[in-house]
Amino acid sequence: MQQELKIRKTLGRNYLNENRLAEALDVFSRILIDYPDELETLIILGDFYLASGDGNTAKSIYLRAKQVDPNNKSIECQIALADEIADDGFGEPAPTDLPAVARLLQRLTGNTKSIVEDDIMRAALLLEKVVNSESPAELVSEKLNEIDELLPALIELNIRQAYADGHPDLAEGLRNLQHNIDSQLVSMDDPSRVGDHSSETPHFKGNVLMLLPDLENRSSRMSLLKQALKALNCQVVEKMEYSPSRDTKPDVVITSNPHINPGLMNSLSAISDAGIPIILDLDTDFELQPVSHHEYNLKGLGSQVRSNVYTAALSLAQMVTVPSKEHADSLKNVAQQIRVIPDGWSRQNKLWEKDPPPHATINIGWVGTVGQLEDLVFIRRYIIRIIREFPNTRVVIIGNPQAYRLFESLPENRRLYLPVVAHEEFPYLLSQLDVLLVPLRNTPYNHSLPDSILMEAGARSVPWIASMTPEFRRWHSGGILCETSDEWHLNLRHLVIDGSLRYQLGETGKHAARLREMSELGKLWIDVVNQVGHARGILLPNTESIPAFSPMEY
Amino acid sequence: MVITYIFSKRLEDQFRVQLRFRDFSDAINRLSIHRANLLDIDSFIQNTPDAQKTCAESDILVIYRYLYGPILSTIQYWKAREKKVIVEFDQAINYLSPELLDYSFWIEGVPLTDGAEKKVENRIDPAPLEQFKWGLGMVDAAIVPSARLANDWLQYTNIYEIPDYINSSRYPTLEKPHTDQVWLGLGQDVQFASFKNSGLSTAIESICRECPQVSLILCGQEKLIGEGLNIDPSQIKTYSPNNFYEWVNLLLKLDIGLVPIYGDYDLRLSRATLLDFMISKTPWIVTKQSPFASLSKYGSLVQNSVKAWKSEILKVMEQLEDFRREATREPFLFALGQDISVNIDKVLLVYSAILNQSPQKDSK
Repeated sequence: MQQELKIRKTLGRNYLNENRLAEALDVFSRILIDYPDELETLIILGDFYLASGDGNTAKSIYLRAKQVDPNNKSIECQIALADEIADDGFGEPAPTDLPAVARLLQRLTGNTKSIVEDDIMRAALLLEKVVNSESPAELVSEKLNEIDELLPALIELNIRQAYADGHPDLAEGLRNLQHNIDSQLVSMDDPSRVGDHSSETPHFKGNVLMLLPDLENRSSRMSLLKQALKALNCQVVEKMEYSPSRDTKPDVVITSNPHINPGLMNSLSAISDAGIPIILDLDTDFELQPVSHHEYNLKGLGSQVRSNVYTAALSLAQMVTVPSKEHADSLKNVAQQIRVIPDGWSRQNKLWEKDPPPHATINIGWVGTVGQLEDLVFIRRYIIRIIREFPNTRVVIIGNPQAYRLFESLPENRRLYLPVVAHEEFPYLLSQLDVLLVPLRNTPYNHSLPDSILMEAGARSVPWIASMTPEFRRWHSGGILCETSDEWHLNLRHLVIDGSLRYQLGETGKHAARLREMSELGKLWIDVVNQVGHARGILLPNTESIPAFSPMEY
Repeated sequence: MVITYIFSKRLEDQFRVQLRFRDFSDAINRLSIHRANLLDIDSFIQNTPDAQKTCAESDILVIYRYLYGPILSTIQYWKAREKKVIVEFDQAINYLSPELLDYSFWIEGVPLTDGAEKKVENRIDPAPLEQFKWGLGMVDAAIVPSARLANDWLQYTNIYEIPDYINSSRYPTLEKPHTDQVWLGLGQDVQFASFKNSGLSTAIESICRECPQVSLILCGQEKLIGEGLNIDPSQIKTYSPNNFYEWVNLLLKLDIGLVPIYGDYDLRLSRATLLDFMISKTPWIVTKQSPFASLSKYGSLVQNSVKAWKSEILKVMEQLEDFRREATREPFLFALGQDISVNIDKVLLVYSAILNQSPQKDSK
């Protein structure tokens, strides 16, 4: 039970750290319902009320906390603070009840439209009119604007009705909907939110040459980039070589991992000689990639030729783009300019948002293209223990037969192997999982890895448990990070037991992944193109300059 | 409902492809209610424009046996597009022994080469048997022609049994061309090991020595059987049918059909061979084993021993006219009742069940 409490508190704190007050409040208020004497949660909730200006309610909660820990001096200080503003307080009789929490949220965020009783009354009257109307559809059509205005009040009305009818589950579902609407209203009103570029329309609409090492096996990153640039009205051509005498001169060249195909070097030299700006995209830190990595033979810097091309490309490029900040940090002394552009997903691929295929088991999955066998080995025994403990679970290994063999001791119907598929079908593979595991050993290469797999899990609403790497810590949406091996077992066990937590984490991840949809990320790419192209005057005059090293913060 | 059968072009598979895919497909299309297509595995894997179009229009994809390599990724591709994927297989590949033809492929990973010399150095890894098990976890269901086979693979996926049916119009009436001889023939799926270990080979050697009018007809098994038999070469006739029709032509000339069952692999064989004998009005003798117990009244069953086989074969030879007459009655009528056109509804019922099947509960 204590572990479950710990996870819920961690989740709540994470929401707080991400300034996601609605979710944080939801988690902490529910903890207090289940554990009325939980000291830390009492203090946090008291702080919430204090911050919202409701001294009366804050004080009542702090007093409860003091009963739990009478010698705690800091609680006395908080009580004193609450006393100072007590006169302005509202005095919630039941501060953990959902209506009270909703009012608290409205006061804290300030940006959302508060639901006043008058609105609720108007909503009730409107609803009654519609129900009793001879032509309800016509009436709804007439009153669309009013309905839009009263939407929060209508939901509040339904929440109260659901409680009154004895359907708390429905009420909580509606409350989540209300929180989501609130969150969206907040993000619409907050231009500082990452990914909201409504005020900075990109202007580059020129010719982009994507110089790729292999057109048959282009990376997911480049495929998505091409789609995104095209959607933003750029003319995009993909090639494996460029000849100045034969090919149209592009405005800018984006090349991806050119060392994989050393033949690209001649083209890059010609492009550089022609004064065409080059953006070099590296999708992993090849300098740190271990020899044992499954892609090393194909993409690593194991040969002199590749190594030379890698170095030369870095020197020719005006800009280097990478998907992780750690990777960017490691290159800042060797590249002219570096930008972090994380990996994304595209709504154009319908599989990201399609309903998951139904399955009768809780599928615990590991994706072989992300980690190595050695990464999985150290949590193998915990997975096997969980699979044996819970008959409704199954381990799913994607794309690594050796890893699948690690689970041969389990019955056949408790394990499933899925092959590697094209990028396009990857969301379908993810949708077959209920919990994704991303263990990574403490190695320099693993620390340089981007958060892509967690973001993709989020886009598919799959909760995850992962190692505490720098990029994972930065992302930290929709899952649980583990520092010790024991935590792997406890967290996995908890996620298997608690379906609502899985759902909640899945929704959190999905929410976070919205900012990585390619229509958003495409604008970041355009920013980069604008920046490198600025010197050639191919951009419209109102393009803003961007700092030389400004990794995106997520 | 639109069903697409994805078939193997391998020569060795053509008998089963005809029986289970082409005949099923024809029968479905004759109904004019549903539609069936045929697509070869290579086009399916390469996702050629035709394959893409055919599969996209289908509700169900039925894949022949070979769940390994790129087929697995292609299955995921189509499952992601909400197609129900079924594998149809008939071999007990988990009971293959080294002397059986496909052992090197399924167990050792030696690639299939369709008759050419096999290249041992480029082995498939992991071996196809292991990949086949992965594949069963991915498909929506598997269909097999025997109950034991169904039972073996129950823990891997949803298993349905559809017994073999025949297309009776493919078996014309033909007079036996050899009035003074007795042709003994083996079922087309009889393995060399079963022939030897059941005692049948020794029994036939003995009969051939005693009865010069007896000939042993070997159909596609001559490479394995011919060398080791102590029979006068003039009493062995070998045929290598290249297709189903050539096999049927040969079948119609047999006087007595023989099916030795020996070992776990044989226990999982389908009834196709016995239906062949019955529809061609050929008396048959089979090892007394459970897979064919329900058909015992239509033929003769013997224990696996030299003495029993010899005695039963001689008995049928001595009363051949009586047995022939008997074979034209109940066994033939039974076989007529197993025509695919009569039974296609049962096949479609299974497809419908798979199309509508859902897991017991959704854990999400």
